[in-house]
Amino acid sequence: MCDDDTAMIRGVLTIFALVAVIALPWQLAAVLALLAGTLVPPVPLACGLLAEALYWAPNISAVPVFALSGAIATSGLYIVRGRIKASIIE
Amino acid sequence: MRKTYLARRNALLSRTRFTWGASALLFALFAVALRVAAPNVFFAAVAPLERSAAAATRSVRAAMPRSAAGLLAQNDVLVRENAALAAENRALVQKSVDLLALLDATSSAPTVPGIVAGVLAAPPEDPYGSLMLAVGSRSGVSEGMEVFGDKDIPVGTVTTVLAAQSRVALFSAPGQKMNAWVGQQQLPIVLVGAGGGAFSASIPSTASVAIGDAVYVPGPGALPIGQVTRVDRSPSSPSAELRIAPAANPFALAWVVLRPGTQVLQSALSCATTTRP
Repeated sequence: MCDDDTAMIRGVLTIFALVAVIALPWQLAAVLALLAGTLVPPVPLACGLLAEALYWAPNISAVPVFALSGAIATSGLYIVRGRIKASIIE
Repeated sequence: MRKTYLARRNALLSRTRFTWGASALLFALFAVALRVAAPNVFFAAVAPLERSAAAATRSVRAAMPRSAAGLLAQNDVLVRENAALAAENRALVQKSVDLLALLDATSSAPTVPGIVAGVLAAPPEDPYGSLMLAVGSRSGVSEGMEVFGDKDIPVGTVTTVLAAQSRVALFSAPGQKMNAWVGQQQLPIVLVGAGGGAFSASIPSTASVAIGDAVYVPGPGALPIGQVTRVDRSPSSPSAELRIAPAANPFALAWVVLRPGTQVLQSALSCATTTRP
């Protein structure tokens, strides 16, 4: 698979994940965000921030749960990618 | 002679991956900044997307295949209900004609009091179990107004009001508690929101509550809010757990009616929640 195809897949997954935050149940949006995050790690954080911008209100929830979850998922994905790449290089 | 060289690449990020990830993050940060700085503009821009998404979700849900037996049973129920409503409608029309003739009135059909609002976003798209409505302060909406679904079933109260949108905290959202009563014996209970439109409640294990018993909350008279679908009793426990399905399905709400808050329903919210101090 050439770089252009990979880039297109990353772009499509990223856009799907962001649209899913608005259009799909949040459970499905979370799964899509994690799936896209395997190729584009910042996507879970971006989806979490978008969900908070759309749905969070201080009198509904004291803590922006989805932004925090996205940040944790993105950090985890970066760590896993780093380990995988390090093992490949070694 | 042709020179070849390899460009140095970051082991973690390539230019392509960084572009998509950075674009997504920038977009999300822009959305957050717009929401904070100009919430009216943000929700006005998002409202058409949410409306389209909600309409698409409802049409997909309606088109999903169900079992033939279930569809036939549902059809029978709807046919009987339709016949009963048609008969009731004929009787009411005749009564209206008679009353108008008696009063010698020339007014048109009575209007239902309240503000009718379209639902822009609802669970499960909304992860916090709230509703986003397409009306706001410009239409006369204020905090604390009570929200009713079909057949005047209470579903929540208005907690946030913008110029053209408002947000409703559902009674069935996790953490919400309110006083209610169940069954013919009018056993008092505390309804606890379980998310997804459902409620739960605890009763003494000796109480005679059966599946199908209606649950009411105080209001003008008694407002039906749900029906008992399961009773979990344990021989070793002094209490039984009720599972209550809502009378108004928040997943299927397309239109709601807002009315000024009454102290009766507000006072039924028995415990401090995220919407009440």
